[in-house]
Amino acid sequence: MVNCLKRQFGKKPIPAAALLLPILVSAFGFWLAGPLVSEEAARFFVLDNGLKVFLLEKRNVPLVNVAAAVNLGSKDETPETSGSVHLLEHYILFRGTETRSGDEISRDIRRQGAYFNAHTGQDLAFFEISVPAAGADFALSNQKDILFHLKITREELEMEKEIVLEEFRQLEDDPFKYAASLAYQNLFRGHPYANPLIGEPESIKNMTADTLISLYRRYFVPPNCALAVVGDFSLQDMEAKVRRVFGEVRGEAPPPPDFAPAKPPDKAADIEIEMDVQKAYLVIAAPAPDFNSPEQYAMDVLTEILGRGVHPLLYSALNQGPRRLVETLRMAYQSHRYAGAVLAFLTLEPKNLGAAKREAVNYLRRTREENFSPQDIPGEAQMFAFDHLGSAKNELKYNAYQAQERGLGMAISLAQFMILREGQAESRYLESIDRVKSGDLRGVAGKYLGRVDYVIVSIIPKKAK
Amino acid sequence: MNGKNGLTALLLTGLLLPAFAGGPGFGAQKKTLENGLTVLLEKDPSSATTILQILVKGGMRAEPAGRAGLAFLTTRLAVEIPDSGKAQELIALATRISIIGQGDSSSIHIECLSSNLEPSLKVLSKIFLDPLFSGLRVDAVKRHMEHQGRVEEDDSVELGHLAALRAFFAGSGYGGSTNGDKASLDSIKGRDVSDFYKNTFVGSNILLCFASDLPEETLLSLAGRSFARLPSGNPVVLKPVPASELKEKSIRLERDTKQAFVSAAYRLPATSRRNFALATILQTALGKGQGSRLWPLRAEKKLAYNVNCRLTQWQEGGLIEAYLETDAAQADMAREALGALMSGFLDGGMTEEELLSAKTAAKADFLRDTEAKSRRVSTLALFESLGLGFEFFDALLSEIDAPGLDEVNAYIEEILAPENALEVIIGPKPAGPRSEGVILRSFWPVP
Repeated sequence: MVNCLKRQFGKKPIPAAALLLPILVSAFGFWLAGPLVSEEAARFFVLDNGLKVFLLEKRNVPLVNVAAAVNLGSKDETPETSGSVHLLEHYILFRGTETRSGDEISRDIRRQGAYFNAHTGQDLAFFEISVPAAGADFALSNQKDILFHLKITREELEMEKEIVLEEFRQLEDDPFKYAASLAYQNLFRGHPYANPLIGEPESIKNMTADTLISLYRRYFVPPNCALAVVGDFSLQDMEAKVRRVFGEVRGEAPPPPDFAPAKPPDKAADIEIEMDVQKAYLVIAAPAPDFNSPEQYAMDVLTEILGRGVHPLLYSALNQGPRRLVETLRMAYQSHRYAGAVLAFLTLEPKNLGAAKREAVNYLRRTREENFSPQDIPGEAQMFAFDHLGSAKNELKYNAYQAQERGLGMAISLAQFMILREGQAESRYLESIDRVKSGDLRGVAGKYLGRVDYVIVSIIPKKAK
Repeated sequence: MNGKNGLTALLLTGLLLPAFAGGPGFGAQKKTLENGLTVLLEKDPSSATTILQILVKGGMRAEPAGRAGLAFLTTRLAVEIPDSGKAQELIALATRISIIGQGDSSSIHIECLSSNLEPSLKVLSKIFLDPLFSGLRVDAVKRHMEHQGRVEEDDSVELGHLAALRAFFAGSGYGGSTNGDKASLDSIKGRDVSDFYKNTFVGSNILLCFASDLPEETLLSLAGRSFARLPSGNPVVLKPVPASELKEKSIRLERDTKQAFVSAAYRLPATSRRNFALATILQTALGKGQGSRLWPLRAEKKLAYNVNCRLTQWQEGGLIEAYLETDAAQADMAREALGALMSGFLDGGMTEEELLSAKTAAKADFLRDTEAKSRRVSTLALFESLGLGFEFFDALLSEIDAPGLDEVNAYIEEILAPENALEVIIGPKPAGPRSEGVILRSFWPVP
């Protein structure tokens, strides 16, 4: 996921891996996780024009958060149009509509105290705005204006291209972001998910206004979009506002997307890139369950056990006794419509890189042999066994509760869910997590991590001249 | 509402800037235990989680000369889990612990399910009250801090920030990374750690800040049971921070990167409630998002993807940095454009409309930034450590509203005065003759 505007509140931009909280995407029923939101505080409906809408009251902070998801992502690009969705997303956010120039939009955003941003992902593009509660009308009208009344001109497009090229250079200076981008390109080679989110400099430079207009007309129509509003409002008032603002927008749905599920890579990749850095940065990627897979819950739990929290298993495996191969580790599981990816991010001494790669992959392959729960161990030894499974479930429960505190994050996840979810959710997220057994973890570990074809990308210090 | 007329009408009525129906308004309470320990309690039923920040006053400013990194090192060791049994207990509880180093304090930030708070505190307080400062443990944490220090320098934005802190606050605790540097870490001995712990980890010098769905009396009782053994001691006495004497007006750091980091940094005066609000307004007007002063460097001049303004506020001073990251080949152009922009801002000040918008945006940003418990606890604790009092959390919105245009413009004149400015540029070595300025590569030289 690529941010259009570098996030500026909080200490650090949110890492791409954390932009969408997988804990919220599995079921509308997540709200039963805590007292902040209840079923009475939520409403789902579809406008006559096909726009899916989800409203959720969250009244503890006087903010209204609006997120729109459009079923258009880098998956919809060709080599010739590589980067076009991200460029269009930039244009929509900053370059003006039929009624307002980019400067006027900026001025309005400022006056309203709004946070205004957008993201491009493999499956979807997101457009989000957060305002003080009194600015809810503005937020809705603004989103309608940018999503459905855009005006694309060649002059403005040329301006925005330069900024996107700066973003590309920034990516090339960021060890983890660049490594993750290369990991995706290799993990999904031959599938549209391999398309780089920002695109390639040459294709960006050559992009024409006609290409963007064509994309815009085809995909920015109500039946191809979903709108989630979370915040300090009453459901009745907000439903009336949404119907009034978005009800008259018209457009035909594009043909439904038709992509095959991504296949695992047919060969391993081990890529080393030099940068002016003092430490080594390592990303290890493997395939994982897709957005609608019933295996996603087990993969969530497994990722938690292996690579998050206090002393995750992979970290412990790499730092046994006096041997210390890595300094920091985190893992992320990202699920998409047609595939998923699990990624480990490690920092380490450059001299340990070879051993760390070898040991990490060896350990991940053997994960299917682990005992994750005392129930896996017979006899008295059970008393001394550690309950990784129970611990990870606690972690995920904490994540789910914590996610409910952030209105904008919830709105984005809900908008994503409305488009990507297929069929009815069988159960609520935490209930599904609770049902995961140790055997399920070994099952997904065997299926997804027990394979040989890992993609490894290392960023290493430039060699001394 | 449809088309231009509808939206314009809406915006006109909203010229009428968005009203703030109220602040976050969770209403924290302050209590003091018998051993002098201060406890802040905020009831927040929004989720079944508890955040606890244990804030130890002093931070980098309490470190003896030449011992940079000592505050962070000691704080980290105070919750370093001594054996695998205790580690497993905490893992099972899904309790998260992180250490935060700051100018005037260091903190242990704890997040857990509320149902697991009591067992978590049972384990953690036992370690905290009787930590083990063995040479092996000290060395292991030092190694990690050095690693993190170098990782910090692999990011030009962080490196630029550290360079500015070092330039403005040399000789005071504020002047560097919480990780210290190679020389200072080498000089820290086990005795330094235990002395620092004895002097600063005392009841009268520690604040516990909770946000939780649990009842206040439960939290207070738990705090008492967990930390009653902490000696009362005396609040740490901190040295004053000397006035800046910038040795250089320009710092250049060489990194072979695609982009160059170009920054204009200015020192801020000691923090007061009014200064905090004024600095927040200035930061918002200068570089927070669309419509800020820096925004045209991106939107019109196409110099950058990332333009930003960073604010660091500590008790005895702070830093405001306006920066952009640009194609390395146009670093000089960006430097000139940023210089011209800052001069123009200094000369012309803010307009009435700009001030109104900046105030609205600053207030809304504060609401968003403190929406979740974790950030709110950090902010409450920060306000206490800055000497502003936790009540400032609820007063900040009206404090932002208070200053008029003349006061804000006088503040801009004072802060952005050329004699207070430092330029920091990080990027590849220029092709031509080297520009003036200090040339450095790393604060972590190869041994």
